[in-house]
Amino acid sequence: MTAAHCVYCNQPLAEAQLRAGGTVQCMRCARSSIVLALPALFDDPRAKPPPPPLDPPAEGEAACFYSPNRKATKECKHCGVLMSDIWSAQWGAQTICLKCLDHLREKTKDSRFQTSRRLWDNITLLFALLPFSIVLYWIVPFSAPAALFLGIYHWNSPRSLVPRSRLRLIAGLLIAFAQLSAIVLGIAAWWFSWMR
Amino acid sequence: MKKKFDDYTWLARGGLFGSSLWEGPDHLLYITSSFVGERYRRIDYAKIQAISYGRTSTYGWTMAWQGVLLALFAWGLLANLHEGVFPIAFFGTLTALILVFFILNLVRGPTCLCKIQTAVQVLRLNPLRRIRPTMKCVARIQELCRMHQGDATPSAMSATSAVASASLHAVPGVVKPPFRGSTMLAITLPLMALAGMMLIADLFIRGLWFFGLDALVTMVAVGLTIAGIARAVRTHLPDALRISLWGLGGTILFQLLVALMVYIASIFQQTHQMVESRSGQFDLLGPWQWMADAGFAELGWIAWFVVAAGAAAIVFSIIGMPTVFQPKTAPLAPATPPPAPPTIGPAANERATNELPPP
Repeated sequence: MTAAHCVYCNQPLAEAQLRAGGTVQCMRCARSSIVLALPALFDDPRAKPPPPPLDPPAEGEAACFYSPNRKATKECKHCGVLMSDIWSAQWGAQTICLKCLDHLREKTKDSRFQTSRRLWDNITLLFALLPFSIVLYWIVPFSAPAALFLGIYHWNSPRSLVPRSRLRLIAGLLIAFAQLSAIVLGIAAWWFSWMR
Repeated sequence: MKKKFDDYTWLARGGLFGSSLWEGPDHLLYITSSFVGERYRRIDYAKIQAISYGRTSTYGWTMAWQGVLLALFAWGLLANLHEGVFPIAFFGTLTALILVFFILNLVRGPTCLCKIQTAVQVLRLNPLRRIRPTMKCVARIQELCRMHQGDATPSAMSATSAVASASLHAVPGVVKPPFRGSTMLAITLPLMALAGMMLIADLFIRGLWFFGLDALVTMVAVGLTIAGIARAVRTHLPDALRISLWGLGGTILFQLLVALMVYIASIFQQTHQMVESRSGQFDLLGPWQWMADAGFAELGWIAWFVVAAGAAAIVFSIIGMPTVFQPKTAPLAPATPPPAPPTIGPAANERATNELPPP
């Protein structure tokens, strides 16, 4: 059994308290917390799962595409091959083969394998809004073009994993455009007044 | 806000930039957000070993400082009711803002800390910061975990654990070592006390040179304090030092607020002078010169905030100094030995002796 830890000080908790369940008091920091121990806590992490038994296909039965000495029990939803249990993986609600799984991870960079993402719509909006802070008003000749460039360049880049609209991107572009227009008009007005 | 997408159903949301927790078909999706990016962690229900949560004192402290600020701004509003539109608008806006946050905090209820344990990590779930939504969410996660791990009854779990406990070994988590002194804190605390004294002295000493020196010392002290806090929290701190460091952290935030108030006052003062003199020219060094020469007469009630910020820095620095300057021959945190694991029986004890890895 692996030990559960105190939520405050990370001290391993006494097994007897975990078995009793509910509120557990840590012996080190003396604070109480609720610990819900699950069956996985009591599994031996060094124990290996038993090897799957050999299951050769009977006469007339389909054989696994990858292990011909095993009976095919499932069909891959992506490529359609018939496969045995050891070659199948659950991918959300679908059953696919391990080769398709590897392809999803390495080649198509499926979003369900992604571990991080840059939010370019937020970054565009940040650049557009920076000059509105009291101390950074002078940054507008740099931040407005940067916001315009980032917004246009990353127009089709993936946004958050949780689907959302391009509202932030559009807002950032509009604000940056307004700032650049104000700069251009200001320069033009100064130029014409100087020419007179 | 989206409650469902693809195979995922929303469970909880919280944190500074909206981190969120989603229920997937066979795993939990935990999205941690900063403003410029997101990080995704997927935790299989079959691999979650334990879920634990406990109350924190954040709720009480938040109510306390919001209450103090609310009282201060409300007093400022009442004291300036006959002074004109600007003070009323200024204090009224601040009072209303703090009141909104105060009520929001009150309604959302007590705060808590929730962690999920797997074989490889103990992960804090930032979206679960309030007791009420945490209890609902944890119940749902527990139900999903039991579905994927097999619905073991408590008696069955006890039977397996009696045998399995003979090979007890700890998860590779972190137990904080005791604090054994820090050169950085030995420099930081006196420097922070000095910065506090100079901040108060700045109200009496005029001149841009002293203002600049005060700003420099304060910035260095603040930087070292933040770095010192980041390093010291990795160890098990004695109570006095913990109060000192977290008090200094709060003082830094308060000093930033006071600096912003003084800066805004200087901008308004300069604008007022520009309008009165009808010169139409804004002197860029004007606000800084005004801040350097400002005392009690110029700042009014804001000066007392400055005094409070300086005094807080001095007091919290002094609280931590005896611990930091204690001779290193004595251990700085009481070294309590971990409790002995409970014995189960002679057979299990013999097996434990044979199977436990050497320290």
